[in-house]
Amino acid sequence: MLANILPKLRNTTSLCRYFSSALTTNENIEPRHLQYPSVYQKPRQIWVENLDSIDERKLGLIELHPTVFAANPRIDIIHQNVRWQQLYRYVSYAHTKLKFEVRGGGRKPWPQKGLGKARHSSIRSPLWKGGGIAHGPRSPTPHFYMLPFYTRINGLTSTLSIKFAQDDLHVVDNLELPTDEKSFLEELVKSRNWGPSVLFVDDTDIMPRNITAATDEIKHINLMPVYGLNVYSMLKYETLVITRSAIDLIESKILENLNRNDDKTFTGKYKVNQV
Amino acid sequence: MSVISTKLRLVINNLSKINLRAKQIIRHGGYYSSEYLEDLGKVSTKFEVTKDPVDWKCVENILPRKTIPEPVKKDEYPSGWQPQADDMQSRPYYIERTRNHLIPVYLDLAQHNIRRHTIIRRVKGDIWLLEKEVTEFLQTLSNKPIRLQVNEFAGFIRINGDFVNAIKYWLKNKGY
Amino acid sequence: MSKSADKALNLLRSLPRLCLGNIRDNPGSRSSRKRGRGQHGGDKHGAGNKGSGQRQNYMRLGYETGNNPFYLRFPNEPYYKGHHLKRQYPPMSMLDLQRLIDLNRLDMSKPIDLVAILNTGVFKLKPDQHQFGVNLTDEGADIFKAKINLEVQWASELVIAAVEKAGGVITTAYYDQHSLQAMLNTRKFFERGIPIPRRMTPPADAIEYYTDPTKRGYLADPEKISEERLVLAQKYGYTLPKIEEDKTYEMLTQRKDPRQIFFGLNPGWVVNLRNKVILKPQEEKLVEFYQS
Repeated sequence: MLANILPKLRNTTSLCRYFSSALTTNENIEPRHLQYPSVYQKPRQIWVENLDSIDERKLGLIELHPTVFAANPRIDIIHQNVRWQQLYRYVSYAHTKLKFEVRGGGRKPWPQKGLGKARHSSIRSPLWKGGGIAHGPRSPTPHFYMLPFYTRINGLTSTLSIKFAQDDLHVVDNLELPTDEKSFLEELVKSRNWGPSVLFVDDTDIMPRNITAATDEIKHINLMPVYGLNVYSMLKYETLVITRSAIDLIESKILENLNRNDDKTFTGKYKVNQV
Repeated sequence: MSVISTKLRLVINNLSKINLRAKQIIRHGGYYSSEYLEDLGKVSTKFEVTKDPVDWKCVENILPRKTIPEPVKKDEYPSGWQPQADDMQSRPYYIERTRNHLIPVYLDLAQHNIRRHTIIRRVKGDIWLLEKEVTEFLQTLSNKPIRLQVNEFAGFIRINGDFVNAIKYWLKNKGY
Repeated sequence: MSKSADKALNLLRSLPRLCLGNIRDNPGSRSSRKRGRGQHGGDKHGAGNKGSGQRQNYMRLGYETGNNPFYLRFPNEPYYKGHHLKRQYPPMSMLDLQRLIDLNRLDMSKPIDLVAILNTGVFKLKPDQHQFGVNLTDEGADIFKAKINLEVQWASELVIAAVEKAGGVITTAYYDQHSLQAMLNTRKFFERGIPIPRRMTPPADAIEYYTDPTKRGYLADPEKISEERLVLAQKYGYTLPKIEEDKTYEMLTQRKDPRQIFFGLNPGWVVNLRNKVILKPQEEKLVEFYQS
């Protein structure tokens, strides 16, 4: 239990004050302007860190919107999202034969009356060994369904809030590494206690060369554009490292979708065959 | 009416003489029966392309908005709507407005409208204090004991009975 | 001051890291579809004894075991003949309209027509279900205080009086099905690349309503309409505000041509949203058609 907490204490304010002279710099980090400011909840603050060196340097503080990063941590909604992500594209190819599909069984095995045996009309009925299966799986069976729109948004905000609360969320200014060697990245992740698996999130899908080369060889450290951010990936990877521009994008997307004018068009039943 | 229809018929007959790709009208057309889009090539019908700012302003006026607009501060609102008070930070509990800026109190009907529950949603802060105050207020309106359920985590209070308008009035007076 | 979300997030700081292995749904929210076994779920599995219930051979809905069933007893009644073909005008109250104006969803400084009401996203219209527009009802007529240029499809006398008392102008106009489909979602309509259609004239049974000055029909004589304004003011006992002396007189008297669907845009034009240009036809016959 203590082993779980001690690494997390590294980023708390009490220890930060001791380390501040070595770790913080005077680089100007532009303060963030929050859309749809929250009335009751105060905005959360997070350090912007660097990726230039293995040692951690805190470049400045930025604010995060409480609706996105301090939302109610709904574990059940997170579970529903993960289940949906796994199931909606799943097609089951399990297949069993019905009684008319099993080879044989066209003839009545013995006469209806007189033999003292039970009455049967085919040797492949579901009652018989080797017979067809009455209510078995029939391939291909899709398990497609759409989770309601606001449940999906709630899943994203709950997961981001939990990642932030458990100190597994880190913000960097950009994904520029000094070298393309994978050892640099591995040492960086190890020294900062970022957990074995790390997900780097940027705002576009074209990433800087060095980080692409470095993470190409490491299977548990991956890159993702912000439009691919999803609940399953955020839970799978221990640490989430997002660039400042990606935070701007994801926050504005979530807040705009929470304040949409035309929500009656997509809050009804999801119609697969209609635009 | 008949004059208009004959005029229309004349015009449509003339239209077909113009070199337009007048496609055969397919009734009950579907995805597979519809033809692919073709480039019409050189179109001989005369048209002009304009960039008049006055016309474009008319177009922008009729396009739908993407997000819900913020209400403007006025002295009075004839419909009875009231914006939220400014001192929300100092309150023990807070009832967040919906995305349409309305009060989140709803009537839940079931069992052929026999079961009527009032739900106060989006409650943040000390929900138990709100429960105490709400029971005090509603007890003055009903002889029967007020039965309610509080869900602190999800932030809602479900009250047995139809007290929607009463609670909305009470919350408005408090500034929520 | 403790907030439940913050309480939960603080708790999570001292709990193990959330991962795919330690999440679950609320207990009882999901039940398995497995067949009951044993004393309580098994045996007859809730199907009872013999009969159509256990043998899944049910009688059709409405069947009354042989006697003439209720749904077949009565022949067609003349009073509902053609009900499925009648035009419908789904209601919107004046209180709703006032609330939309208070909440800044509708702009008072511009004419409010069906397009503006549909763009708020609050009013649902289904033209394919014989719904032809807005019927403004009189709930909230006593508190209505907005000076607007309003265009609806159906309005009663009290509603007309309430709008004119507030200093505004009300017109009733007809839109045919094609025009309505274009108005439902203007962005989608322009993306189709079709020229703006001509608005059709009302059908025979609606012409009387839309040429009636008492109903402020768009095809009625404007002089007779101004006479009727005075008549209503006398009937309901309010002084008719002089809109001629009003600052917004130009906006209040803005009216569409009977063949026009959108303010400022003529039929026959094609709007290109991508390049932000409008294509206008110049071919003689097309121009003649769209202006007729």
